[in-house]
Amino acid sequence: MTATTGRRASASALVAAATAIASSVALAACGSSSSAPAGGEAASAPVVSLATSLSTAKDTWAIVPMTANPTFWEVFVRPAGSPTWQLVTPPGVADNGGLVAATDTESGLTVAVRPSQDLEFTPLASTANAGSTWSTGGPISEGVASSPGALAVSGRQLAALLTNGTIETSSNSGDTWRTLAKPGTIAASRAGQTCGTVGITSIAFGPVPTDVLAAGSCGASGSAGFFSYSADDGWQRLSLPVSGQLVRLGAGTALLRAKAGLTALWGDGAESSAADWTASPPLPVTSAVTSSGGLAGATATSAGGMWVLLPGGQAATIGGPGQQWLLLPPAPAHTSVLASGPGTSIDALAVSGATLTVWQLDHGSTVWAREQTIKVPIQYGSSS
Amino acid sequence: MPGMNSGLNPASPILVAAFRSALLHQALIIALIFFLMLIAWRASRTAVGGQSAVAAWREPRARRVLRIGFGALWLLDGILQAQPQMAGGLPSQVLQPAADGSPSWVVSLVNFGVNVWNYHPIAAAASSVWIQVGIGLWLIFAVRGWSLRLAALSSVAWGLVVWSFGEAFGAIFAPGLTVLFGAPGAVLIYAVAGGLLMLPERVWARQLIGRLILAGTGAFLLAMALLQAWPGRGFWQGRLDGGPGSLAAMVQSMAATPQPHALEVIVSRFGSFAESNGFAVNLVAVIALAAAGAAFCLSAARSDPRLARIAVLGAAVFCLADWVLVEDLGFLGGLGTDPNNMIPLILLFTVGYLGLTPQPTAEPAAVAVADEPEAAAVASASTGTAPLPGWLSGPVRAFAGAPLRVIAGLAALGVIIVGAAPMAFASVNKTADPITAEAIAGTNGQLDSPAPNFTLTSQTGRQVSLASLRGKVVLLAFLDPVCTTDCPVIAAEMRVADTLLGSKASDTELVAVVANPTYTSLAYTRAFDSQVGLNTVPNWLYLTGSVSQLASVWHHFGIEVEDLPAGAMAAHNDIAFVISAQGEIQQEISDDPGPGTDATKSSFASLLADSVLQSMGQNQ
Repeated sequence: MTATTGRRASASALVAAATAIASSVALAACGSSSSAPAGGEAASAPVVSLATSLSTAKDTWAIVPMTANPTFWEVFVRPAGSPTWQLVTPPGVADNGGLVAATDTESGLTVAVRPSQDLEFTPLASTANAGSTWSTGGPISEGVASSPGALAVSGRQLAALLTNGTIETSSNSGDTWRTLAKPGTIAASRAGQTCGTVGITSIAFGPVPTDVLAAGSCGASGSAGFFSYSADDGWQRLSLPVSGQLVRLGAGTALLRAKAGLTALWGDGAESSAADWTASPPLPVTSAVTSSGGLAGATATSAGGMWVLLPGGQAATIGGPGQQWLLLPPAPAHTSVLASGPGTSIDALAVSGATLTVWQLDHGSTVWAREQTIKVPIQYGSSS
Repeated sequence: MPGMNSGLNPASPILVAAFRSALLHQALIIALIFFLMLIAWRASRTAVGGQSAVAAWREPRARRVLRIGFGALWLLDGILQAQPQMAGGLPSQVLQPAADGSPSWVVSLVNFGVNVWNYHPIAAAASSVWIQVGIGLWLIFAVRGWSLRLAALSSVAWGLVVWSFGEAFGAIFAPGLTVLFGAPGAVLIYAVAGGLLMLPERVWARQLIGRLILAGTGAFLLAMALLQAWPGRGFWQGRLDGGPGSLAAMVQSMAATPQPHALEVIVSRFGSFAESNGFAVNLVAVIALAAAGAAFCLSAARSDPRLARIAVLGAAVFCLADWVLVEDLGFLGGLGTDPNNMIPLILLFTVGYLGLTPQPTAEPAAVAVADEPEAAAVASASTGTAPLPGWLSGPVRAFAGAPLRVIAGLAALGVIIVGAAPMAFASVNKTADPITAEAIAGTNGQLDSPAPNFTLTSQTGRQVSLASLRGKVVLLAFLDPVCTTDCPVIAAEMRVADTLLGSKASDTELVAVVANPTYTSLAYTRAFDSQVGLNTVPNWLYLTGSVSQLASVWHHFGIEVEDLPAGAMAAHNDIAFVISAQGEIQQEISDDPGPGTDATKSSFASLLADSVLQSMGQNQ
């Protein structure tokens, strides 16, 4: 049974949600990697996994952790028009530390490989042809933060949030980097002083591609604080229509854990005041669940679709501004990521050991159907 | 527990052969010492006409048993230390398990000892052998006087060293403490025995010493009985949480170790019995310990030799049963280094009993010569041989007049020195011996072929050919700039090797070629250099180029490099080459760093530096 919160799902709502996801950035969590507030001491934000899916007009990507101890992170792609997923993990580097991915409609996918073991800097890999070939940029001099929002791309512009809270930017696809904010810079700014302690967990590019949006926790309560940087104005604090803790941040989109439940936010392109944001109705999530640290993430796209995967397999999507959260049938066991499927369907990517199983929820259906199985050739012992 | 395990295979033929060779060399030196001492003694007797003294003094029985008994135990321990796998196996098979469950400060202390051992495994293993053999011989030969006191002091000192660093304080700080498994540590009893042997001779002429030993042992056993009876420690249960209880588990683990079949059957059956009858077995243990403890205390309080004799016999039977059934003779299975606590405990309370019934001791004969060197000097008689210079006369007469066992005691001191000196020198050296690296990497390949030339780009963007480096010894490695494991370790080893080369570093070029088909840009070689601290080393070159250029170099040096799928790092051989100043490949070294501990890193650095120096030496 598929049901919306408070009323039965209509077919049009599912279509809207699926369509939104198809052109959206979405993510899921399995609790295997956590995002820690960087550069501040504020109360902890909800734990969000690096596992995620991202969609562009052309392709749909999924970042999925496979196996355990050690975990190998894999990149899967479903190229536009293709019904099936492919393994396209960038070669040449051990990714046991996790992958942080970012995309926009122009630049395909850029992946930051979080360093592990004796590696201390962050290799970068980018593809513009659905993972057929990868080019290397960078590297970033330190490790990127363990947050799905630690990397942002807009054309040749890149921004990265490092583990120590530094924000670095590049204007040449990562060949060279400069420091935009050191740890404490935002907290020390006039905008940050209104907040108290600042813990940045996510970054994104603003409506103007050179503007950087940084968000995280603010003050002792850990409520979300959004900051925008422009060369002219420096750091400015953005007003939000809803108070809550930040779960995910995207370009002009965000997901907060508010008192009433998960709330999606969409910016109108300006986003400087509370009036520039549209808030969704809340998705009631019990505090016991959301405070468990297993809250799966969600974020938005220009079209505004989001999804969340909660502990226990509960899943929900929302199509965009003005729509309701749509509760999906419980996701198949071991689902790690939800992503847009072919047409209006939704895919659930489930992991068991080194096997990825793709389940599909067709428009109007209440049953997940197994569509594809991928045996991932994990190189046990190669890097651990 | 990082740093605890050297990553060595204890059965490594290289390590075993090196250990055997070191023992053999030192044994020859020791034999020479004994021989020279004997010759010198005979010569001095001829020179001054000395003769053996006939001592009427009779050593107290209790002290003699204590001295010879613990001397024999030290000797046995020394022999056990000579097991072939001891050099590579002691840290992982003895020291590390001993520290399991102990507080972090104990683990840190043991870790320090492990680190010292891992840096110099051969010197440490050989030293342990000879120090313990030397202490054992010294205790056996030294009957009285300063010689015995020094021997006893060495027993105390070495016993405490082994007890703290080797036995993690007998695991007394670990939760499963029980005398049945070995608490408070065999060597602590050795140290106590050493302390007793340092007491003045007059003490041994009185009952008091026996009473004190019995009272102390009795109090210890009573405390152990209380501990054994304490609820909630898993000793009362044959089975616990679906598995065997504490005692049964211990016995079964001992039964699983390699040992003679008959003993395995006995221990295994007792393990099953303890699992089925956990309560009864522990009850017997508690009663036996308490009864023995109480009897010892009572006999000490009453000075009652009869009660003490009964208690000693009963306690000895119990201890022997525990030694066989629970401790599995202490040294069987794995790398046993001593017979565990029960034998020294039996020895100690037997000495207590003997001390309770002292015999007359010092009864000097009218013209007897004491068996101490200083006393012997007085007794040696001149036979009219050529007079010695005055300054030499005294020592020579003392030496000549000393009985043979004193000379043997001095030689035993020589054994300790022969054992301790290499370890003392090694411990001052903060660089690990290359033997560890050799054991991990295997024997180096000796080559003599021209190195294929290549031209690549350095981290500074300069074109560098191998031929342009002629005149310097080149240490060439193949490193992946985004490698997460081996390559940063190898690079760090090369950096340390450069330091070890000292002034010779200016005649050396450390060269690495990128071994990754994807991450080949200069930015990555520079990032790698910064990460491993090689960006400030003037004779370091990290070369890269196009994939085709790199592939050509890999091919010519036999390096296989490939990208692996699914998030694995690039695969490549860990091989380094030593290229002479004339451009000849002289050595091929497997530089797979193994576990990458501080000890193995330092050892590989030594190996690399030695290889470079060897190349320089060959071409001079």
